Amino acid sequence: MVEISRGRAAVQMQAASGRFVFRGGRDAALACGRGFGLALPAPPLWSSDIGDRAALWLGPDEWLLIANEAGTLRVLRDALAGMAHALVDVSSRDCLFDICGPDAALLLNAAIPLDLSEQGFPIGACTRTVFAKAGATLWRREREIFQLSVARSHGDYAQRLLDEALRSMPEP
Amino acid sequence: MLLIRCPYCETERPELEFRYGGEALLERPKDPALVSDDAWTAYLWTCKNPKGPHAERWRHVHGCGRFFNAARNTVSDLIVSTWRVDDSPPANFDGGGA
Ligand SMILES: [Zn+2]
Repeated sequence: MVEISRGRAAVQMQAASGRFVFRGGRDAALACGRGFGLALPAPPLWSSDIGDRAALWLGPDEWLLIANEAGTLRVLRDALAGMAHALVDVSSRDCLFDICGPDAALLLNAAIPLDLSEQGFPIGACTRTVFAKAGATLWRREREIFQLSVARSHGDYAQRLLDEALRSMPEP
Repeated sequence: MLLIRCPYCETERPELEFRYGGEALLERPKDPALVSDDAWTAYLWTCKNPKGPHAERWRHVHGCGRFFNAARNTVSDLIVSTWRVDDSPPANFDGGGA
């Protein structure tokens, strides 16, 4: 893992993890949650997690499932057998960055036009948004840890922008 | 920058996350093969383009991905309200004039 930090913020590039996009109606979502061992969150822009697996709400019938166990895809397919749904393994699609530290939100706001205060984007919140010109997914895992993901082809772009934002961070 | 309320995310979000999707509340002919060329052309291409309130489709493309409807004043750029595609427009909305 590579970490770059300045002042009260740091960027850690993370290794790829198991990530799956699930889409389906209410019954399929229930079945998917049962198979995954973690109910898919119903409230918009919200996540649920247990251990190192998580389910992130992306849209009214769309979730991002994160799990590293081998065989996750097969378990989900079995749980969804016979139901209308879409399930796509996107593990190799994204570049993952952990943005950490007391100024993590300030750093992200260099390129993300959202209110990332603890009121506007509390722990557990997640969303798709834009990181400058790149589509991105953002998830606040802990108070001072955000996970940012962009498409692999935008990884270099995001990383350079993060570097530039870090250079302009105030020293403590 | 405009803040637009997404009726699926249930929050106000910056306009950068949205894409305009054309006029809303159009009814597609049930069987396009049965309508005249003129009626089909009008359905596809003839827009109201009013000066004032306008019913529009927008898509939260960098968010939940959903299309929804919005009532926007084309003079002031004020978005009066947004609603899910399966909901009704606000009662006082005139649908964009003739
Ligand atoms: Zn939305």
